[in-house]
Amino acid sequence: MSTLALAARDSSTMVRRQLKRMLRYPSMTVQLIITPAILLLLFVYVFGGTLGGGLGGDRRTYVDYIVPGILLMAAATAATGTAVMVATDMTEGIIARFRTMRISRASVLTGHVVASVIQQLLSMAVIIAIALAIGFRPNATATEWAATAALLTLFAVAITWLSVALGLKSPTPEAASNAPMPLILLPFLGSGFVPTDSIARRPALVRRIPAVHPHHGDDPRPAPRHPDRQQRRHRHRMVRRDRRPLVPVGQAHLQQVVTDVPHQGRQTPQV
Amino acid sequence: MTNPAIAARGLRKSYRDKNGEKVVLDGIDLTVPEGTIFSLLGPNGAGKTTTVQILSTLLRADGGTVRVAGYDLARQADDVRGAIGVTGQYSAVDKLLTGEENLLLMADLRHLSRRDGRRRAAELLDRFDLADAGRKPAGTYSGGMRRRLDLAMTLVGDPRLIFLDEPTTGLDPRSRRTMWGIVRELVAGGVTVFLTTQYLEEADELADRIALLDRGRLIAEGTAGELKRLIPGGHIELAFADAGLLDAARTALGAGIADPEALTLQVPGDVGVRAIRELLTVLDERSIDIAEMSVHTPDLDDVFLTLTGRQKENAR
Repeated sequence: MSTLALAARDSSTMVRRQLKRMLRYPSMTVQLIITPAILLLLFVYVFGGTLGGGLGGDRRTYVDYIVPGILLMAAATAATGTAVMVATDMTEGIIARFRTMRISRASVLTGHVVASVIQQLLSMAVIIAIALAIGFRPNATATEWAATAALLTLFAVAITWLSVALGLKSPTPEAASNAPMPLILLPFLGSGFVPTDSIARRPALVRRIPAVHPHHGDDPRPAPRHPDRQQRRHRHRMVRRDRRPLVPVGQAHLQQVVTDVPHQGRQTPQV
Repeated sequence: MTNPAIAARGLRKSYRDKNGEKVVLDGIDLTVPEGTIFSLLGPNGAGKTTTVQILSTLLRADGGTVRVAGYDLARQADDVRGAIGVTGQYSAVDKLLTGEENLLLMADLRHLSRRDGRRRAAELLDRFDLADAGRKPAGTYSGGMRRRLDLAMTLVGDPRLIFLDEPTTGLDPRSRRTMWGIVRELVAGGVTVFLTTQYLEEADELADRIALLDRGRLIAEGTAGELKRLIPGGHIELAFADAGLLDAARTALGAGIADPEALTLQVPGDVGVRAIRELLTVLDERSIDIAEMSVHTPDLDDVFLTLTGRQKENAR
């Protein structure tokens, strides 16, 4: 067998190992799915009326608005599980055993990533099912759904590799479970839960967080709060960071593809 | 031997930490003929595990040339990995998988066909007395069972050379005897075993050749018999009521290793009746009372004692 074929074979062995481990340790998987599901229900049924009103509609409007954000959160939550799994693996002797065997070196991590992506897609499917049950009514075409699935998969792969890195760097599984926390919180700070321009008085730090959405993004360069202070600082600094916010691909495109809320509806928070 | 399973020359390894450089292995030479059990014996911290980790490709040596199973360790690490099996000091089983699944995982990673893998797993479960527990998660196993599964996993690919790093540490006497039986069977089948242990009894029991490792250096090597011949006899252990008597006895005898905490004096040398009588006479003449006395016929503990001038337990 060629090196590549061997690598593929070892990787698929490792994926099977991870999937079995997930089945044997279901409490983790369940928790990773339940957390975003509870947030979805909480936001829709507790805050949904008011927030939907802010979007120019009602709770229904809000369900359509929030689902993409929750999907990303589901992926980020599941990635926490990956970081913990990787960190746990590294503390156990079996990794030393793998390292003394003639196997593809990358297969251990590949196994983690592929199994985790499968878990994340499963988790997102559950979220979509719950959302549909509580009034999520996308009218995307089959092509758009396929594009959504592809985009979500890519997002899951990216965030999983990141959490694998966090898991490898964490000294203990406990530390690993904390490391990806910011990823889970990002949708809150961005436009995942409310349009960003509705939070006009967000602190400057939060405003910096790339919160762009094609229809209700921030002004690309928010007006400085203290222009004179900024200018003074400017003189002292030779090189300034580019302050234009980066565009997060996932969220912005998702909302466009998955939901069908009239653009005006989302644009102005007329509270 | 023209083609030894392990041939190491001038093996060196040191670590850097905040106290400066710590030399773990200071120029070790090892030759292990095929089909034999070689035991590396030493106290905790002597460098046994580091040696195994280097020989099994987990760590890179700082210096020295090593050939393992006929391959150069530095340049053909993957070929070495294909020929060896390693059972480390810490359990290397997947606790969430069942015993059988652990073995099948190894079979897959050794690229056995599905049928061969199943056959081999069943065979090993039987042989290691794990058939009943095969479908239970390894996390529920007892220490002895886990160790047996660990070794069974190592054997899945029929390695020619097996490293066992302290295979019986933490096992009860019965499990230890079982493990010894397994190791003997392996060697009867033509496998080479490289074993580390801190139990002299274990090395004595199993090994064809024994090397004594102390502070990163080999201080002796040979068969158990050869090592025992290095010292004329065993030792006599004397216990005293207080430190004054202990000191007086040591001065009077001009030999022996005192343990001020236990108030004992170990006198290496001949343990024949005549020697004992002479020793007692010397102490009697100076009115040094002995609280207790015991006579030890030579074992490997005495070799260690004689060669290092220290007791094994204090040898860290």
